[in-house]
Amino acid sequence: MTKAIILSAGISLLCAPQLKAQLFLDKAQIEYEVKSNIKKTMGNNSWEEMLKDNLPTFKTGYYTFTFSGGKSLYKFDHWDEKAKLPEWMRKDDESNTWYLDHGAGKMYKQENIFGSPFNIEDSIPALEWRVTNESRMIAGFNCRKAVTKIFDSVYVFAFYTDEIMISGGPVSLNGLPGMILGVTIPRLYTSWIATKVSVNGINVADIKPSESKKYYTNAFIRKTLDDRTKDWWQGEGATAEQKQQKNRFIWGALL
Amino acid sequence: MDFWETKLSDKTNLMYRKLLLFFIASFFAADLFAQSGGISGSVKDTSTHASIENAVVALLTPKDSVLKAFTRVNADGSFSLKNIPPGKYILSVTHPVFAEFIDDIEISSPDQKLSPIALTPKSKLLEAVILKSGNPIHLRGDTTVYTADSFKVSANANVEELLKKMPGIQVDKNGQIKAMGETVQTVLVDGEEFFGDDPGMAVKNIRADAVKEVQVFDKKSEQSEFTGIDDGKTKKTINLKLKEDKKKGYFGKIDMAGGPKPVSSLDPRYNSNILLSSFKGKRKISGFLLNGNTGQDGLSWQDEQKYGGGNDNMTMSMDDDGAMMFMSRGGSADDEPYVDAQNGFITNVNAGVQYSNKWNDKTTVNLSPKYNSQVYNNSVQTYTQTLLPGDSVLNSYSDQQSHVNRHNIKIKGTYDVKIDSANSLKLTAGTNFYHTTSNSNTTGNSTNTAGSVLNDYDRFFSTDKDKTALSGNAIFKHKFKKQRRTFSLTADWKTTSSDGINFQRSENNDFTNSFTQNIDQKTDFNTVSNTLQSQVIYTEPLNKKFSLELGYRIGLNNGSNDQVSYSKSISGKYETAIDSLTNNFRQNIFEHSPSAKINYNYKKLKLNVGAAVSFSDFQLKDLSNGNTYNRNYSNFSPSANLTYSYKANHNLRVVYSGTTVQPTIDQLQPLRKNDDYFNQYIGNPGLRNAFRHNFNINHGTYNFLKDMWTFESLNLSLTENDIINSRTINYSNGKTITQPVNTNGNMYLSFWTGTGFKLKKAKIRIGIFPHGSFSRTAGILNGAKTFSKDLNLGGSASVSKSKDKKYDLSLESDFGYTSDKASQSNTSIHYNANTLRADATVYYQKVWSLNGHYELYTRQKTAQSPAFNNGLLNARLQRTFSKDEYTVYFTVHDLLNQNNSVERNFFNSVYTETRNERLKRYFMVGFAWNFKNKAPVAAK
Repeated sequence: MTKAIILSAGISLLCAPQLKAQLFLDKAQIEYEVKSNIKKTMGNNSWEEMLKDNLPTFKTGYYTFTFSGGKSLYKFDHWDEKAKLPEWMRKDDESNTWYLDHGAGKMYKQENIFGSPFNIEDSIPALEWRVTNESRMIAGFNCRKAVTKIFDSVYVFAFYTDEIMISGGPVSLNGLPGMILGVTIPRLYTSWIATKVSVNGINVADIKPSESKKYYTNAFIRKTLDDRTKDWWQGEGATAEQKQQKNRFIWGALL
Repeated sequence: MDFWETKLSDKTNLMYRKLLLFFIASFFAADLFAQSGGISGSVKDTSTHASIENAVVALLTPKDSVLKAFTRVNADGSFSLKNIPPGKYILSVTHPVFAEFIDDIEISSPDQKLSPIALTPKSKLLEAVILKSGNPIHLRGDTTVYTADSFKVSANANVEELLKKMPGIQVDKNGQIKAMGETVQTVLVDGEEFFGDDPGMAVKNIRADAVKEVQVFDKKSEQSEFTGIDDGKTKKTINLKLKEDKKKGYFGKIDMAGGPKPVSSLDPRYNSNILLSSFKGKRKISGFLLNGNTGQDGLSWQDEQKYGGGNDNMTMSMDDDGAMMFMSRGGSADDEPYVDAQNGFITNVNAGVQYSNKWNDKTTVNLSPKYNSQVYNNSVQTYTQTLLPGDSVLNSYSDQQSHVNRHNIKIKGTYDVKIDSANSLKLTAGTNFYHTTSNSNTTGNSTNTAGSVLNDYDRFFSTDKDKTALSGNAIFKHKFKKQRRTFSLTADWKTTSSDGINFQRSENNDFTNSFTQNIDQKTDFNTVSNTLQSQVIYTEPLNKKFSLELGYRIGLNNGSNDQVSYSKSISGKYETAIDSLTNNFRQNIFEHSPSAKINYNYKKLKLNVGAAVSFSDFQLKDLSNGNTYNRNYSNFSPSANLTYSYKANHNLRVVYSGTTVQPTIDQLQPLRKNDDYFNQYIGNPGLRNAFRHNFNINHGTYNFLKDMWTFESLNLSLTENDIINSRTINYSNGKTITQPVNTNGNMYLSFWTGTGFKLKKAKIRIGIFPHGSFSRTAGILNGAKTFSKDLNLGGSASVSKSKDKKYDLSLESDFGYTSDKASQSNTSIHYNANTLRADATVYYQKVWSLNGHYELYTRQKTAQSPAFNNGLLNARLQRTFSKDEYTVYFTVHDLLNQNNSVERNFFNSVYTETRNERLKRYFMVGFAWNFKNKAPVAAK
């Protein structure tokens, strides 16, 4: 597939020197295809088996990451038309947003948990990346692989390109010398892959955090999640599978 | 540079900085930290010597290449990195069009100048060497297949070790896999991704002996798979195919308890559960055997999930908007009487086997034979009071002793196949056999307002009956290429037949007329019913917001009912047929019903409006007198349903449905019988259809932050031309003749509300549920229209608090006030009732636990019956061993010895109080063993 930078023909013809400048993007919109293997996250009781028979294997959604001037907004765009999901599996994701001010090191996030929206204001999470020599092409960009660990034990495999100037990525992933175009988190059975990078038609005014009267911190959300889920899956009575489901739920909400 | 020099230069530097700081801004404060280092330099193109803007300069740790700092090269080619802890680093400079520059550096000073870095434009890297393997490798199309077992590895080896043994595959010390010289980018497990898109994850975590085959192939790029356009790009992929038998295991439970005779007239108590389940790949076989005499009837919900077939009567489907739909089919609709195992005394055996298997994720087969036997004894006292005009009443008392012995075999099978992505088929077949012997002895009498006995009776019935039910069902679904266009076809077939013998011996005394009726008769009966029903549904999207659903249903029902009663002759044989009690009916019903529904779904609003019309042709032939009843009627059932999700997790739903209620065969033409001399029922062939309007409003919210939920629901039902009972009561002897008639004025209104939340500080969970209902029921009493009104108001509240493995406490109180009034009568009935439930479990050292469960029922006295309060206290003391694998327990049921069931009810001018005898105090000691195979061999 050819490099998916959408350039207007006029600019590329008339302003040939600018083409070189496009090598490093400091303003763009990136579309990600986000796929989660929902069947893997489910257990084996008869209700879940019945549900599996009716669901597609993957929950596939498309998200956009828009950035300019060191500020970025990552949010839901649309679902895959072919794989329909019940409303309760979709609703929360649709209004989640991640706004990162990379210059100020601040993150504003809106996270919907069982229909209740939480607005979070906190610093951008600092991640320790291990950079590898592996590389692959994503959306026409050469990407290098880097690995980090979040929540103490969850491995994140990311592919980033230095051709896009911002140190961003999907959800709150960040901190690499370039833009993350591909991510896999095996324990969440989820992958993010950039499908399109466009440089035109970006409305800078849209890059803003969701407004709210009250903002919480990440630590507060974590505590609330731990508190609630404690009642759902009772301590030692919980099976290993239930503990994993609980962890996946908490991690997913804190990403 | 040695250690001292470093120190010195740092110090000099520090002083210099302090001076600077004095004059310049304070935000350089971070640079103040001692021991911090920094680098600066420039990057140039080797050939043009032009500066290279935006190249990434990064510092990585040499040991594990952790990214410590990075920056971009400025327009003039310079770069600098500050605040770097001194130490050894890998310096990397990357740029899309230049080859990567890598060097080891040691940072020791705050502003270390690096010599200019020159980058070379990328030249094509040589493709890796193609390895030639000596062994001919099995090729399947484009895929190279290695059979795992032909490569010897150590006992606990993982897949990585296995791969190392395979020719053409290399694993380097960093875990990178190369196949045919190319780097493997993805490892799939059983064809599924995300088990770790990272190749290392899968190969390190799966045991070598769990793998059947290693398949190596070139996978098309994700984009080309997604778009369907082949861009020619491929990546080396390994697929690990697991051995089916490695996904196997078993688990089970054995729980046995026994105790002494509760009272001398009863047997010792026992209850045992044996449950086993084993799985191998997708194949699952489980079995259970339950027997006891303590009221357990069938598997608990959890055990049903684990060992039974789950709820196999339920089918789930999803429409194209992603809405889930549930359909419940049949159940045990064999018209078998429901046995409430809580009442009376039951001794039962439940046994069953469940087999299920799935092939290629496409074909599923389920088979479940089950056996059940029940020996059931019950003693019921019933008191009824019929409110008559003015101050008069008619009281009836009855006392029934019944005994039922029933054997039941059920076999059910399902075959479910997904033919392809567009078509699916599900077939279900079931057969049920029952053999029932039962008898009952009932004595009773009726008294008038003054308390004089008007009549009494003593009746004995016994039945010996066999029943067979066969059923079949097919569901075919098709999805068209066009989104949201679907077609489904369902067909149901069922036939039931029962035949047997009834004996009746009864004596009815009418004291007013000094009349006695003695019956001693035998009845042979045989009934057959066949139904066949089929339905097609087609959905068509009209546009993004609207869709149309069209349906057509046809149903056929035919049956026969033959009963011949014989009276006992002088010779002691039942041989004289009684003509007035002979029933020979043939029935034929044909029904067809088109329907249409429009759905609207946009943003927060969902609406559907639809209607069905059905046309029925009903024919009932009475062979004994040659009469034929023919009825043709049409039913109309409109419905509307609106859901408004005005806010996340806030839903408002308004539903209307109109249904036509048609008279049952029994209401039109009941069987001729003489089983209750004082209560006789006659049919009404002139009955018309009733029409019922149902309105329902539901509202619910949930707030995750506050952990609080609420719901409110309101129901209203109004019935036009409702079919009600017209009673003609002979006040002098209490004889009542009942006939169904049409009338207006029936309504029912109810509300249910509730809220639940948690007190954060006290960690107490609270639930409050107010509810109420009002009904008005029309009736006809000796030709005059009556209305009886029944009002129920109440609410329950609960509090609970628990701490894992320390204690669980809960308390609940359910209060209700009832007020009943009949228009013709001066008598009214008012009473309060309350149920208090308390449950407490305390744990000691995690292995001991003591549970107490107490229920207190209080019922206020009414004009008809005295107050009745009783308590039920159950307790269980247990100790678990070896991580809950074994449990030894002691239980006591009904320590207070007061267990009894009392139910009060009021309907259509009649107040009823029913008392059921229940199992009282008993003790048991038990042992439970929960087991499963130790380390699950499953590769996951």
